[in-house]
Amino acid sequence: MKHSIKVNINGQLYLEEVETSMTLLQFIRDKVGLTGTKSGCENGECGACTVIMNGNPVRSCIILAVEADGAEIITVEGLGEKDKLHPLQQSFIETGAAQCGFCTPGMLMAGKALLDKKKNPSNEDITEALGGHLCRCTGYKSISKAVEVALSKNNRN
Amino acid sequence: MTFKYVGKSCTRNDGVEKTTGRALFVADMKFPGMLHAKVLRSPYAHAKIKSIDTSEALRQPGVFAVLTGEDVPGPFGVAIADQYPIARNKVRYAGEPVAAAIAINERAAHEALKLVKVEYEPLPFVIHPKDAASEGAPIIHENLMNYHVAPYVNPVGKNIYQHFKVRKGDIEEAFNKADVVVEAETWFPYIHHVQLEPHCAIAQYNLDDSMIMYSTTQAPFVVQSCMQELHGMPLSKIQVVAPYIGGGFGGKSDITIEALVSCLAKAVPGRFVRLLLTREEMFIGTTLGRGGYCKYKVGVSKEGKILAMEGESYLGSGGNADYAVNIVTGMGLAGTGPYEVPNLKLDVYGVYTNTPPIGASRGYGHPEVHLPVERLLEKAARKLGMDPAEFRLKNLLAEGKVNGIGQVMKHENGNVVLCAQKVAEELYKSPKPDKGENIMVGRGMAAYMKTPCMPTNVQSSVYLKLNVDGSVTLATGAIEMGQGTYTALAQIVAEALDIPYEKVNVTNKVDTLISPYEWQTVASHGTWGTGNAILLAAEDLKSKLKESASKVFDTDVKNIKIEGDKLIYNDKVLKWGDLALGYKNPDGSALTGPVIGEGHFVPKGVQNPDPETGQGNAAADWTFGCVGVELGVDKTTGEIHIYRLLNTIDAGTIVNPQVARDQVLGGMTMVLGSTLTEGIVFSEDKGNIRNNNLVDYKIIGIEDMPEEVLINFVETPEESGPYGAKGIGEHGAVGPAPAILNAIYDATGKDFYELPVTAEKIMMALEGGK
Amino acid sequence: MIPNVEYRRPKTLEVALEYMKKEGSVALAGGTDVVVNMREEKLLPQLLVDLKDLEELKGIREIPEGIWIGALEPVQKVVENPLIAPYTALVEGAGSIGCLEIRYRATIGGNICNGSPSADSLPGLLVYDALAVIASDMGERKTSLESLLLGPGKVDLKKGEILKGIILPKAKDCSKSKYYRRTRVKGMDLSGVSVAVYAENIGIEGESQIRIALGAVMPTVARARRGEALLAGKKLTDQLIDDAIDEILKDVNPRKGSLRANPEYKKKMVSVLIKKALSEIKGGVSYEA
Repeated sequence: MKHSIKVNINGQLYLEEVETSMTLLQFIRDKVGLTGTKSGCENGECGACTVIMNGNPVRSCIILAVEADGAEIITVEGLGEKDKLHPLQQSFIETGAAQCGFCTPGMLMAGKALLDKKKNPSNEDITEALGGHLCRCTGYKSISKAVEVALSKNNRN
Repeated sequence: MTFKYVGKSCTRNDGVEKTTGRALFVADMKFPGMLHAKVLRSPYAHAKIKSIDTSEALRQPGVFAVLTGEDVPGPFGVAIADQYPIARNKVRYAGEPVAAAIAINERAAHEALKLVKVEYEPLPFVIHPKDAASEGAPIIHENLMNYHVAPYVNPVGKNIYQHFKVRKGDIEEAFNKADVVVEAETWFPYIHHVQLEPHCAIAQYNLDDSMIMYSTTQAPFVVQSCMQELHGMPLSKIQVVAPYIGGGFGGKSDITIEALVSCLAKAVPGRFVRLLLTREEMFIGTTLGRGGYCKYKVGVSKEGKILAMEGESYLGSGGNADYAVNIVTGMGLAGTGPYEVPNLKLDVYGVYTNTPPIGASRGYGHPEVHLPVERLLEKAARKLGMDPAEFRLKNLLAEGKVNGIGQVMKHENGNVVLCAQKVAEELYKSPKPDKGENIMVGRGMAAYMKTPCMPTNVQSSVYLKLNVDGSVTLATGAIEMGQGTYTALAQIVAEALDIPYEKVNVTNKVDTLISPYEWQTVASHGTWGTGNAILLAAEDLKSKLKESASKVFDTDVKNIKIEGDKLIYNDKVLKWGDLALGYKNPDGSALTGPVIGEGHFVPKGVQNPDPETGQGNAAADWTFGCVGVELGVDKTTGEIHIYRLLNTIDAGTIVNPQVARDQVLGGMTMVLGSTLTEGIVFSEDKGNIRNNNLVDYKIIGIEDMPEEVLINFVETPEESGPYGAKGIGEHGAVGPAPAILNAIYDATGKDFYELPVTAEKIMMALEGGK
Repeated sequence: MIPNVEYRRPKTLEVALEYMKKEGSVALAGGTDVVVNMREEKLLPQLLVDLKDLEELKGIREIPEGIWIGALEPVQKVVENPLIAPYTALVEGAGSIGCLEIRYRATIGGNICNGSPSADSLPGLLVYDALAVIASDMGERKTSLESLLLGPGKVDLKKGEILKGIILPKAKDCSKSKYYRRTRVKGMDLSGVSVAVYAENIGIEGESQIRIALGAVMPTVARARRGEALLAGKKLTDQLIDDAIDEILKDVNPRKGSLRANPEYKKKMVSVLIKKALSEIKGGVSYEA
């Protein structure tokens, strides 16, 4: 069954026809062509597909595109400004938090959602935000460090 | 020795691409007219295929082809030609491809496969290598003795495709003299690498007998030669492209899905065909790791010296063993752990099992054998009433000692004694912390060693292309899969040419048509092998620059001096960039051409081990280290809390401390999972994998990480490495499992030998006194 | 693969109820179970009825009987809502579902209707005697939430019915509760065994009341009433607690072959976690296993 949906992604409005079976992740990657958001398990278990939807971090692989009609989405491509990296992107680069880079977009979006919601997140908040985001490369230390670094920069500015 | 760029935590050169979503992975690519494939997989671990009917599937709209084993060539294999891209006549593991459909989209292929009718005759199956090697086990490859094998493979028959022997001294006499003899059987379960990126390959075959394939591979040149073997196309027309890889850990090395995808592409000439695995298919349709069963016996004197060691190890290798044969070698070469053992008898058997193929997995045979060795040394020390750290220090392979295969340890092999001392000092520096009445705190350590298990003459080659602005492009066949190799290699280029790190760019994909040859990106040998090739290329580039300059200045080459990015002859100066594309005379005529440096490296003097004794210069280099663990066991729940993870490693000169530290931590974290929560579970009735998803195959998450992680380096320069460097990618994985088990013993007084050690196993032991 | 089925997103409860009467209709809320099950082809609906626009199914607010939680409220909203804060076992249980992103999407109604024996919100809801409010074109019915749970994946919602929300009775000042669970990893995981314990006037003879609900050890999340009865009104002693747990374990018969925990371990943990919760509620007095 086909549906016409209107979705705002990174400030750009998209009006598209989708089938019920298409996930939001497929919509973002295949229809819109923003391949920064990754597909790691299609089961909501790994976190690589995390995007921000109406202000909340969500797993786009277990949301149907048709459910996202009218939503505002931010993906990793919409994280920084056009010509400037987001503090999280900078801190991920500085701390070496991106190794293979496959979990990175999801981690970044989880980090952004946290920074948007909480001015002074605790270590527990950081762990909760990154919880359920699997990374097989880093051992996670550089990733939580990156969020801490971005946070301290945010607070300094 | 101090360096300008080596030894600095230079910022990773792939950071911007990877944090902005612009880094391109195979599954991100689209091609005109691209078709999609899906695979029908065997539900049985071992069965005869009585019949397959694809006719109805073929009639479906949008379906271009449905292939079965009869439609594709085979067998093929790098070490043993024992596999087919699609099963023929019988299936040897649940998950083995039985048919594949190519269609206009994934859904059409998926639906078509539901219409393929396969009739199976189930056969008895075997999962554990010990069972597979025992009398009366179902035979998995009836024709093993007639297979085409590499010269170093010695099939024994039945399910045993390889027997690797190490013999030294007289163990019988030594065991008789021993004051304490300890024995154990250990099991390192089958695991999956759980790379975040699912395997994907896209290929197109053309009627000029050329093929292009984009693949998530650590081994594009191996894939290239496999396709040549399968289809007989000229190598020069096989273009395998590997962009960034989303994690490999060995599970994307050798061949996984590429043979199959090449056959799919051949079935629809001119069309691109994509196969993207689901997470579930990654578990059942690629390679698994580990599967090491070991039975070890160690004899020691009351003075605390190891006198003898006897080990019988079996590597469960899956329905197609192929390259697992080299893991068997690894289990032999490293079979003593980092200790001097004067009398030694090791037998390592490679065994077919009805599991998905076992392939390379971070550590390559080393974690499997360190488990019995380090557990037994702990046990022996206890029996002797000796401090376990002290006992280890007496036996470690210090400089001048002889290892299990007869190599005399040299200074450059590294200072294992210092590593162990540092870890022991840190681990025991203060009394055990009080974590409440329910928590039993324990500490354990395990020393380790690692050698790259690779062919004797693995090749690395690079080009250094000089640009007019003085920047340099490094072309390499090495793969960046997260380990930071492009960053480390760029630092080596910067050091070798004495140009700023920022002026070095690395080609961010490998293409077998244009990239210089690289064996494959495995065995932690990139920094070492490719790094060495860079040193040679840098020399080549500089000498070519001097040669060009000598023509410009009309003097002998030896009169040209290089200072920074300048070429100087008396008071005349040229910048490198001036010569990059060649020099023009004032009248416009060309004097010199473009400058490219070339470097080719093969290790010298590495030999095949003696087939009867395993002795010989068979290991290109050794790296030593030591792991320490402090943990708590909750006696009410059996839960384990890791408090401290320590690792001191002598991996030669560290090129990039930040990247190196995270490599070690990543390796440790992976094995933390194998030790506590991971392990493939097979169903008892069908032998298929029950936890083929991330819901029930639990890898370590951020919440499981200890507060304190301390990774230290001892930097004894490796003579054969660039600026004294050697590999570090796998080493973190070798020691943690026995260190954790030793710490659990320290906490609870219970000995565990089989992984994973789950909370329920701990509870059972605590209650049952096991 | 996710089947390409009919999808409707009604704007009113009336229309939604009409759709839910149709053959093969399945309600879609957060989708964290429904979409996953569809992908695995375990669930093949003919019609997906997306409830997300139904205002009647939203809101967390005080009502005369206690607190109203609309079935569509995302789990994380429930966890963070100050009105829910006194219901500790619910906050802790719901707060351990999946991970943050799952909790922003998964709904409290969905966690109930999925009927999982290990649903983390349910033990906390059951010990507070939560009521379910169910709508159909016949009107509304109210029933105890516990009575809704029939078996693994089965809830007592008839064709054409929609879970509208739940009512949490007022939390008494003298009450406390606690939720504990055991999982294989510390982070995102399904419960291998879970326990919610509720107590009011703990230890005060004649007045104390203790309620216990168990997850992942029976075909549904359920109250351990036999044990509760033994504990009611009595002063807590180690012996009494042991007796109550013995009584409770008579009803516990976890299925074999679970990938999450074996039956023996689950039973052992029922005992350990109940004691831990009681001790926590009592304020640190520990009962050794």
